[in-house]
Amino acid sequence: MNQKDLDALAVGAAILGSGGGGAPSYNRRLTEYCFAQYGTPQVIAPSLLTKDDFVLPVAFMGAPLVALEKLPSGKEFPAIIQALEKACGRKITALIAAEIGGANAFTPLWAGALLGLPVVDGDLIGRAFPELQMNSCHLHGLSCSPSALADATGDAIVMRPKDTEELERIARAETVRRGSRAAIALPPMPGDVAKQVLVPRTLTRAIQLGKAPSLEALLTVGHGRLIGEGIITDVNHTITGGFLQGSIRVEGKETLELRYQNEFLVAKQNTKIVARTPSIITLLDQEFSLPITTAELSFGLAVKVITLEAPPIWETQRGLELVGPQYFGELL
Amino acid sequence: MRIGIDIGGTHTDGVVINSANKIVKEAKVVTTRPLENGFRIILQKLSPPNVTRICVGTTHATNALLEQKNLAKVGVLRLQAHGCLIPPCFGWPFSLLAGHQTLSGGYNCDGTPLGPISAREVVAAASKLMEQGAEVLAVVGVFSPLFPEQEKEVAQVLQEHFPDIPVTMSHSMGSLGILERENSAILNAALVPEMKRGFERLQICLQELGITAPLYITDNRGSLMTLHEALAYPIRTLAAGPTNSFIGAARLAGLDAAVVADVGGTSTDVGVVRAGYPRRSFMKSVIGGISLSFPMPDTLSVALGGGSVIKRNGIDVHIGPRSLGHRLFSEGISFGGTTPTLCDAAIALGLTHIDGAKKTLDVTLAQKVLEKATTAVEGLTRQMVAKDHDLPCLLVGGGASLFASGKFVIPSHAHVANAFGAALAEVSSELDRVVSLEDREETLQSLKEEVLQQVVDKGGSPSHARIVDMQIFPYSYIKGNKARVVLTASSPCRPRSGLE
Repeated sequence: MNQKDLDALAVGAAILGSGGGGAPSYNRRLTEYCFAQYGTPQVIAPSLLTKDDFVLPVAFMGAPLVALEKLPSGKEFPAIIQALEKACGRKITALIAAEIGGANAFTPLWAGALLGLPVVDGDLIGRAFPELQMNSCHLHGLSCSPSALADATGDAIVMRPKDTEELERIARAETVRRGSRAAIALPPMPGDVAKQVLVPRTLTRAIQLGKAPSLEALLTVGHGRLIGEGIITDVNHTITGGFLQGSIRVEGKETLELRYQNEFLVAKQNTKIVARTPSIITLLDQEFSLPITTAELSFGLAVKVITLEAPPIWETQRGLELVGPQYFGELL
Repeated sequence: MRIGIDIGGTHTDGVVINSANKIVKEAKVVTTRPLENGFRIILQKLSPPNVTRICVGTTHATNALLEQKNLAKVGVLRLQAHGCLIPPCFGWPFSLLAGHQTLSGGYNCDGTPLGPISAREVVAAASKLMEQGAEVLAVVGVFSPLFPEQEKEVAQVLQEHFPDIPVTMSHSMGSLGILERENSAILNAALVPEMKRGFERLQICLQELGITAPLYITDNRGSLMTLHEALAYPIRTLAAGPTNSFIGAARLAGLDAAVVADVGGTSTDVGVVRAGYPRRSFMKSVIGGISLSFPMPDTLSVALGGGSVIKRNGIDVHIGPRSLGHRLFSEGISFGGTTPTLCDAAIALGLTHIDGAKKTLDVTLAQKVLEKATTAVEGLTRQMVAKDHDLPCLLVGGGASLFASGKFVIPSHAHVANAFGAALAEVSSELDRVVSLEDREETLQSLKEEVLQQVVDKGGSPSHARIVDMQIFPYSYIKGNKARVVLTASSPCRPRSGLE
């Protein structure tokens, strides 16, 4: 992976982030640094995984604002790996992104370089979602125990929650306790299990989206469409329960209202729903067609609103129960 | 009467403007080194009576950065109790770093310290950095824009123990985003000694000429800084030159919106003016390959200027990037020298008349060169405006007369547009306060009124006073809906405001 691929990944991952996922800028810098210091990790196609592999899904969680100030120390993942290898009695052989949407697309890359571990081309969501249980492992009914969390001091804890609600509760409380920023890993999976469960080739997909030479090309590759463009005329948001929640109005030829909880969830024209989760809804700036996160929204920005098709696993009955509009019902 | 002076890389320009903002006198000389020579000559040429102030836009900082000369070596003190994977200046195209030390300190997002400040640790770290060659220091703490106390404490300790070492604190360098803020703090610190030398020499010029009017330095927003401010924040003078050109050009043409190309001796800068002021970049600005923490005027530059050297490659012609700069008037082939430049091409075609110049360049070659140069500049202007095709294109600067194409408008006094812009620079005032945003609209409104009044008290015109920047840093993870609000207001100077 060279500079151009990393540039493209930053853009493509942000597009898949559906307005959330945090701005990838520093993670991209971390990746450049770790590649230069430790070498580039190998990227493995999911089809090549075997039962002898033990794949660890990794991510960072917490407030995006903190990611702008408090960079990782490098002690986080060695501490997590040590704790989980002990808990599972088995060595971890590869990393995978828990979430390809946003900054976390880079997490396994720099961690893999630092640790000398290869990275699987895929992730557990195919985009970004605000809550921990919104991933393909949970969709397939896999256990979320043992998971692990660590902070910049290198202090790691192993979590053995009975269900994902408990995982979400413990992990978020621990994250807030440790300054609202922590590294997290979901339970490592044998390669043959991982193969069935992961969303394949999303690292490649993100790079492809980022390399699209025009908006038209992007919409073709992403199976999407332009649903509006104009100026943001109203931003109404709060931070509730650790999430950036709110709505914006985009006024152009038509008026669109977009609602979000970290990620954009629904786009409406008057009362008609024009796009909804799990479809990816992304804002691009008018000038350069670069993605804008919900943390960067401001009055007066000229934007284009696009939607890309959802990763297929989410447009199933079970998928929609977990991440469909009804789950977020109270916001709509 | 006000004097505006622009000290550029190739030329130093000066104008005298009256209270109706009309140019009553102008002068232009070739810039030599040291840079204050041009300043002195311009003042001697202009020598108006009743000068109320002198506004200077200078390329000192930009030059130092681009030439990588006279930049001080920086020692960085990071207040980051938990450490950080990436070292300072990672990815920089050149290094200004003497070294860095990571100290206990920094804050969580809710204001609880990551660690206490130890004065002993600070002194030991600074000593170490000075041993490694640091001439200036930068202090960078986690979350300092929200919680500047630790950085101030460290700066105080440094002031007590190392009073002659300039210190830049990162919290005044812009927003959240620690790497860009650190970059800005390092660059600012590195510029301080050279700017101090430069400004001192300008002041000596004024003293020698018996001029008692106050000296102001223009910043990259088109506002005036006192010498004191400019010495603390030299980084704000980066891009002041192009800012002055763009503002001056639009005003000379009587336009509120335009694309402006400023053709200098070595480079051409293109910007867009909207509502009278240069468009600022939405994305974080990058100067000399370094990401900074505050917006700069959106500028596209190309190494194409009057002194750009022409090279032939078979039937191809190349212009620049090498340039003779101010030496074009002695080494260019129209002036008895041996190096063909863009200026020589214009002279050969009769587009430009300079005393003592002889037409010596082959006319066919000259035509080819001018065509290529014009296409390049037109391309840049198109890039800058994207969809706003019908914005008028203005050409200003010392090299403006080189381009005879009808697509560009060359306003009168175009060659001193940047000095004019400097003379028009405004008064500005900043308000920096932590407030509760419970009654958001009311509170913001009252803060706005306060800073607008401040700028009027400083000599700004009440009818044109306006808010030019508003930054809100919410304390998102603390109860009470508090935020640090930084408001900047600007206004053109009131006529006869006696601005002192």
